[in-house]
Amino acid sequence: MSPPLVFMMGQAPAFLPTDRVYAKNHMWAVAVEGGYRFGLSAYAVRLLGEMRHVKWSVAEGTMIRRGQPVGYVEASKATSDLYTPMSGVFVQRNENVVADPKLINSDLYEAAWLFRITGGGETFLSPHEYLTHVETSWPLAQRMLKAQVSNPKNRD
Amino acid sequence: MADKFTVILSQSRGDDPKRRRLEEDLIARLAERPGLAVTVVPHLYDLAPDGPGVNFLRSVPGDMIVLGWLYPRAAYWILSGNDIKGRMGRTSSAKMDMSAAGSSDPVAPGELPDRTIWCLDLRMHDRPEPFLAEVEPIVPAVADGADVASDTVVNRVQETATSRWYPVIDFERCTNCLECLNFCLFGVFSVDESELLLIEQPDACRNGCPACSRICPAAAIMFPQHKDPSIAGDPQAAPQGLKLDLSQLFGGADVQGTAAAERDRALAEKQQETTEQPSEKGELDHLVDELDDLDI
Repeated sequence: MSPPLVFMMGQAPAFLPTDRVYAKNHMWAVAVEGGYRFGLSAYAVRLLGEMRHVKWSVAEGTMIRRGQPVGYVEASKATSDLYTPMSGVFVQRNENVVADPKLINSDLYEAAWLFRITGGGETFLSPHEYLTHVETSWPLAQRMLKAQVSNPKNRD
Repeated sequence: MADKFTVILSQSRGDDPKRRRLEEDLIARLAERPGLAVTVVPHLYDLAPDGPGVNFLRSVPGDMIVLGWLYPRAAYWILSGNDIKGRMGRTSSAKMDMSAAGSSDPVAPGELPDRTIWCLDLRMHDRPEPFLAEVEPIVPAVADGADVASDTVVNRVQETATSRWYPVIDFERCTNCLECLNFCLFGVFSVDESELLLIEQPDACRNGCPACSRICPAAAIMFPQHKDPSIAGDPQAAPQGLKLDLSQLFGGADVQGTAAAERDRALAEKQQETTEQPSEKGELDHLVDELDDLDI
C-alpha cells in the first residue's frame, strides 16, 4: 500500500489510507463479500474530538436506504448523527465502539469500523478524489460550523 | 522628587454620554490627586498594534493602574499580548484567577518584568468615588507638605482607534493544544519557533465570530467585546461547553451541493424579481423604439 494521503487541519494532519475508498459523508469503505464495511475518516474524527458515546438506532438485518440515519455519536468537541452512505441490508454493527468509544480515536481504520452493509450499485471516491473533496469543502464546512457558534447580536 | 505613579484611563468605544461623563469626572479627580501621572488612551482593545497608545504603554517602566471598560482579566491579557507585562495586581474587580488555572500545566509566560499592573473595570460603578477609593491604597501616600493643589497635566494620547475584533489569549490557562489554530480558517493563529501558540494576524479574524473561544478546552480565549461574560473574560463565569453538530457534514447530503443549490435558488429568486417588475419605459426609450421600427 502506498503511504497515506495527508490533509492538514491547521497543524494537525489527518491521514487517509490508500487501501480503501471513501464516501462524501466522510466515511471510509472497504469492500467485503457482498458489500462494504464502513468507518469514520480521520477528517471526521478530528472534527469530533475525543469520542465519548456511540449509539445505534437501527437493528442488524434491517433494510436501509442511502442517507438514512443509523446511529449517533457524541465526542468532546461535537456530536453527530451517523448516516449510511449506501442502501442495502444493515447486516452488522460494531458493538466494540459502543463499549469503548475511544477505540475510534485510537484505531479508526481497523478495529473501530462502524457497520457492514450488503448491497451494491454504490460508487465511492478514490483516496485522491476524497482528498480533493475534503480540500474543496473545508472552507464551506468551516463557515457552516462557525455559523453555529457566531451570532452578530452578541457583539457589544 | 519621586516619580509619579502611572494611571491609565482607557476610553469607551462610541459616544455614550454617561460613560464619557464618568471618564471625564474620574480624569479630573485623578489629575487633582498629587503623585499621579494620568494618561488617556482609546479603548484598550482597539489600540493599533504599533500605535501611539501601545507605544506609550510600552514606555511605562514601573507599576501602573489601568481603568477600562472591560473585564480586568481581558485588559491584563490585551496588555500582555502587546508586550506590556507585569504581575496581575489584586483589586476588587480582578479576583486572582489562580484557582481556574486548570489541571494541565499552563504554558510558562516567561519572565515577567518586576512590576505590577492593576486593572479596574469602569462598568462596576457609575460614580468616580469607588474607583478613587480603590486607587488610593495602591498608589504611594501623599507626602507631607506635598502641593495639594496639584496641577497634573493630563496626557491625552492622540490616536484614532477603529473597532477591532480578535482573540485575546490567557496564557495562564492556555495549554498549547493548538485546537484554536487547527480550527481557525482565517490564519489568525500561528506558532513561534518554540511551537508555542501566537496570534499572527489578529485582524484576519472574522468580525463577531467567537468560535475559537468556544472550541478552546481550557477556556483560555477571550473576546472582550462579546456579550457573553464567559467569552468576554469574566473569570467567574463558567465557560459554556458548546458542542458543534456535524450532522450536516456527515449526512448523506453533499454540503457543497447543498450550498450550490442554495446559491442557485437565491439567484433564481433574484432573477424572478427583476423580470416581474418591467422597467418603466421613459420618453427616450419610446423614441429609440420608434427609430428602431423605422429600420433605417
